Amino acid sequence: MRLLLLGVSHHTAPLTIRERLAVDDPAPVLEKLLEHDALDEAVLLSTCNRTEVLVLTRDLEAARSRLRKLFSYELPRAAVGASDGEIDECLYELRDGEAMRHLLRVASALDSMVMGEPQILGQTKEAYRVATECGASGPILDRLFQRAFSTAKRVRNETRLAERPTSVARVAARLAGQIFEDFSEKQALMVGAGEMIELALVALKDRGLGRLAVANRSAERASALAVQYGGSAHGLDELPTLLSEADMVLTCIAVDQPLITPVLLFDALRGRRGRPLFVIDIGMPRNVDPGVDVLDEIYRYDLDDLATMVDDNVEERQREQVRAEVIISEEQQNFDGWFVALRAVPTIKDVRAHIEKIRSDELARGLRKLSLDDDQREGVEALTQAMVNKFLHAPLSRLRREAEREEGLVYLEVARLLFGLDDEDSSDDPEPR
Amino acid sequence: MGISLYQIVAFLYLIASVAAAAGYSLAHVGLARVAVSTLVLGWALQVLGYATLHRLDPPPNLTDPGVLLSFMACVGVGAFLLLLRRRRLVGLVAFVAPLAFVSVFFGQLHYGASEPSVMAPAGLLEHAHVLLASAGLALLGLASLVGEIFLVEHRRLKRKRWPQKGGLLPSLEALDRASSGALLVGFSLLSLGVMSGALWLMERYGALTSSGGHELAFTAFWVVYAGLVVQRFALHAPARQCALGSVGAFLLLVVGLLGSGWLV
Repeated sequence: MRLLLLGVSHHTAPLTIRERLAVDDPAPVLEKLLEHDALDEAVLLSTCNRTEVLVLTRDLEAARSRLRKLFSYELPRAAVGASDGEIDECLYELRDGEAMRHLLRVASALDSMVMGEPQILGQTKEAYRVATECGASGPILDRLFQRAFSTAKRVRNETRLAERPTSVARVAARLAGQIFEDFSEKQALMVGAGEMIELALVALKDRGLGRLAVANRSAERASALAVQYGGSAHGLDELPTLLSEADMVLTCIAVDQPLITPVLLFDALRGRRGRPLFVIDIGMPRNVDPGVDVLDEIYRYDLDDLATMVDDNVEERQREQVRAEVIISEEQQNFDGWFVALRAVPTIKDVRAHIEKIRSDELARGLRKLSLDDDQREGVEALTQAMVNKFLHAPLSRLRREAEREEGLVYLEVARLLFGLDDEDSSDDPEPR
Repeated sequence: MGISLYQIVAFLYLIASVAAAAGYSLAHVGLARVAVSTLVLGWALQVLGYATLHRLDPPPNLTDPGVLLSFMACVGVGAFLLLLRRRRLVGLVAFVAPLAFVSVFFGQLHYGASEPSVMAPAGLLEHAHVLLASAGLALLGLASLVGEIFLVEHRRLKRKRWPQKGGLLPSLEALDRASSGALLVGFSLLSLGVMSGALWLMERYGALTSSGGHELAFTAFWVVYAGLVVQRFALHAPARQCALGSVGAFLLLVVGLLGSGWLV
């Protein structure tokens, strides 16, 4: 059994690539993936910053080829500014221990654009929930993800990484401060009503935001957010009017095509008397067409733009990161031992089967020569069974223990050699002495 | 007394420049405060210097380039300090203080370089014309400087590049409002200066205008600035266009005045 992780993230791929690979509903993708014989379990994680697939496989090369096909041909949305070759260049591939470690780091927000941010754990849990519900996650990935969640909890509790998270939302608010002097007379328009929007809203409110309008597909959610933060709720159809009134726009809503286009903004700017409009697009795929940048009064920033602003408190974060990495290593070793030990299972099974065959063949041969009643037969049967178990207990336990270490693989090899498990004639009846 | 005071003023402006530059590049609020305090002290001494100018024997010619430069620096710094009370413009000290230092320093170098001019002001109107027009020019210069910084900041934000430790830079809105305030007051003072000049001509030559280059140039500049005021306050043009206008107009003014020797 091998673990294989393939994906793209903000470290390797620009937003143009990531948004092409974003997956709204992982379930159908996972179901299709598991139709492949080589794949036993799979989980797909798709967030603003990454799209990754983690699989458990018996055939690494076949799995690798299947996942590459997924990323190159099945996931990409209609091409906008990026070719398939570019996607291939952005893909990274991690195996076994590296893949495990990566998952633990991702869940603990060590691999996030904003280190220590709280959203990624929820997103990882959601990815795992979807995989479990559609039957794509099995016992191995279940255990790995549970380990990832407990590791993330340890990192949060034992380090200060999450104490002062420089969230994307806070960075957006700080950036708005470079454009506007006084937030109390400004109106913010939130397009969407999800968690990210709410976080951004809190950050803007902290800076004294004056007025608020929330536009969303679901009027109910928009109303809830508007009531909570003292704003007005609107439908997406009101965007043209809202844009002409707003000073800052934050968008994070699921769309196939950009919701805010140059034409829409150009019309909205007419009634603005030259006032600047600050636009933060944290949607994936992007909600605002980058073409709006040609308009002088528009200051638009997407996730990649914000990424360069989040390196605050670098030294403190680096110190805490070292502590978090130690936790990750401990947790990885624990899981790694368990996972590597799984490699001993086929050998142990083979040894048992081999010995059992010898026992049952020899017993049958012996019983033919003896005239025993049923009770006696059962007694002999139990006796041989107990002897075999006693004989095998110590070596197999040792084998299992040793297999938890990388060096222990040699014990598996020796066992297979000594018992002739891979010999072609190993299934033949051994000659009686 | 006046001269040595101006040397001290120049020195203080220099200290303010260094502190502001360090505060700006290190994003150190303490250094920025030192810069502001030193600038205020330098400005107060400069005002005191002007109050003592009349005690000099002979009193300096108000159209002397050295005196004018110093006066414009004084008005510019004073206006900036007023703006600083209302807006978060601390980062601009790094730009205003060096300009003030250069103006006062070169003002001292050129002090008394010009012979007493036939246009040397002698009465109230002449003084009003020179002082109002110079103050107007100083404020238009300030509007231009702020506009220039606005353009740099605008470009930086549009290109999505920012200093990792930035924090002292004023917001675009603050820059725009400061530039617009300086433009409005500067234009008003320039208008008053042009009017007082016309009245002076009337008093001296019996006509409101003359065909002299100085008068023509100032009238042309006034028209250009009137256009900028209309662009900003009546047409509500975008801030970037207004900043471009301020910078362009002041460049034209400087080239026109200094290049053609129309200042005196």
